Amino acid sequence: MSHPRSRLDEVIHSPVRFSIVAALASATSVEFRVLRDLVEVSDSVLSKQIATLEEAEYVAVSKFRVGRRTRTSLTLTAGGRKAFEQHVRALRDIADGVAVPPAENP
Amino acid sequence: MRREEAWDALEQAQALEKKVRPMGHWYAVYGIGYGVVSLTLLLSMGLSDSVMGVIVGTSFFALALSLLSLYMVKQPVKPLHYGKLHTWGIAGWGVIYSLAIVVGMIFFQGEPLWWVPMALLSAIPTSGAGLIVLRRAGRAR
Repeated sequence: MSHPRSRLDEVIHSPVRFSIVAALASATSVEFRVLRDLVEVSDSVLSKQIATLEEAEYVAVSKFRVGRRTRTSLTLTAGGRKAFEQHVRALRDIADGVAVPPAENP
Repeated sequence: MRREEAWDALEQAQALEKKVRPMGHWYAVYGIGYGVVSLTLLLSMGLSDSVMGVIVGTSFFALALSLLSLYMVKQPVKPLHYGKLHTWGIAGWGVIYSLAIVVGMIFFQGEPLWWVPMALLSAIPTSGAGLIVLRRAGRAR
């Protein structure tokens, strides 16, 4: 049996991106400013990480106007949701010690 | 990745879920508000049995619906399964409302035994959708 570590998603594995995807997985969509406050990062850091997730087709970005303001809404795609679920399953397996090879003696 | 790190990541995901889910509670206010507006509209139209009742009822409905729509657009977080819940809630309301109006105006004008139950029934679909969001958020806690 392979170690569950091999099932971790490389895109989601980064701590900030993991937080972004975890937050988005709990809603249909979240606005940029709310997500920034939830993940506790700056606008530029969030933009950069969102671009990576968008490139992987895990997150969809939509802009819309409310009055004179433009708002940015972020949604986890079906692929992104599936990848997150798989990543969480792998994390659970690691946490539970599933298929972890015995520690080597020094 | 070590086991402790995996636990930490899982706890972090759970903490974020606990923060995000309640942000969708507004949909319960919207859904129940929509239901109350519908109930008021059907009672005023059905029981007044006059053109004035229809005018007052529809004017109130138009104003209340505009306010509810504005409230909805301003919300930064859309709850999980929002699209399906909203579609089913509004579709269910549409069917009951149309039935109440068409049958009521032809056969039961000014008849409380028709209009009161139908007004109550029309409040159920959107209120139910709102309560589902509340229940799911509660389960996440």
